[in-house]
Amino acid sequence: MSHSPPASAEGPDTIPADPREEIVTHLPALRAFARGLTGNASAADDLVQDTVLKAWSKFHLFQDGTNLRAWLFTILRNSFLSSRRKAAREIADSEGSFAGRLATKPDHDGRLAMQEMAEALNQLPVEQREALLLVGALGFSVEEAAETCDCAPGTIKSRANRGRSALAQILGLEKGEAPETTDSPVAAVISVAPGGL
Amino acid sequence: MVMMNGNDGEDEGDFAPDVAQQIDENLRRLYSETVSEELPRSLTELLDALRRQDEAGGEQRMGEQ
Repeated sequence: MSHSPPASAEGPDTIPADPREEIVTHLPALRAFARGLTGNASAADDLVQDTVLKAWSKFHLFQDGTNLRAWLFTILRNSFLSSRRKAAREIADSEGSFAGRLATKPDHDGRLAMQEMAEALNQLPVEQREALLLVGALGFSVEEAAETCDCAPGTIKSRANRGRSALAQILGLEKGEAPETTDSPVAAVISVAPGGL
Repeated sequence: MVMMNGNDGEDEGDFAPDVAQQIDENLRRLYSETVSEELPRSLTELLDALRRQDEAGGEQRMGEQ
């Protein structure tokens, strides 16, 4: 990754003069990852703020030419795991908040399925949740997710598959059995959700 | 919940590929909303404060030279 300033400072696709400004481009995905880990929109934004503070102040530790996205996601993950260890009792309180926020929005096809999915995801062990969030939800390669989580690619694959199995079980999708065929993947989940049986 | 033990064994997931694809698709849908949201004001204000802090620090260092 090169941080040399562009010839022109104008335009959304140019590299900012201060390489730390590149952090900003990763914030939307960081927020999604934080929301998936915490299950709580407010806690997620606190976690992202903490990540930004750490990344901004420790940017001199980032090695130019390495993966900034993985570096940022690792900071967020470590912050989450650290706070989780320190305040384990408070974690249970977060369950359902994200799903509740979704449920307050206007109903339409898929909203219930999204709520079911969010609640199911919150039931998974954090190792499976983070693997699914990175690889399944945010499009990380297995290798990049492994770098982020400081483990082997095979471990990410295994955790993601275990997570998918657990989600399938929670959502009522039997192993080796495809859900009812529909045009919409969301509708497929609705079709196997408790209220849809 | 047999599958929720958090171990890292070699479980490759013996469910239909369609199920895995649909789970991933739903995960993407679930978080695409967050990814496309505007950043909250608290975050943009934090970034502004960090930038101002750096500018102030830079000017101070320039003054010391």
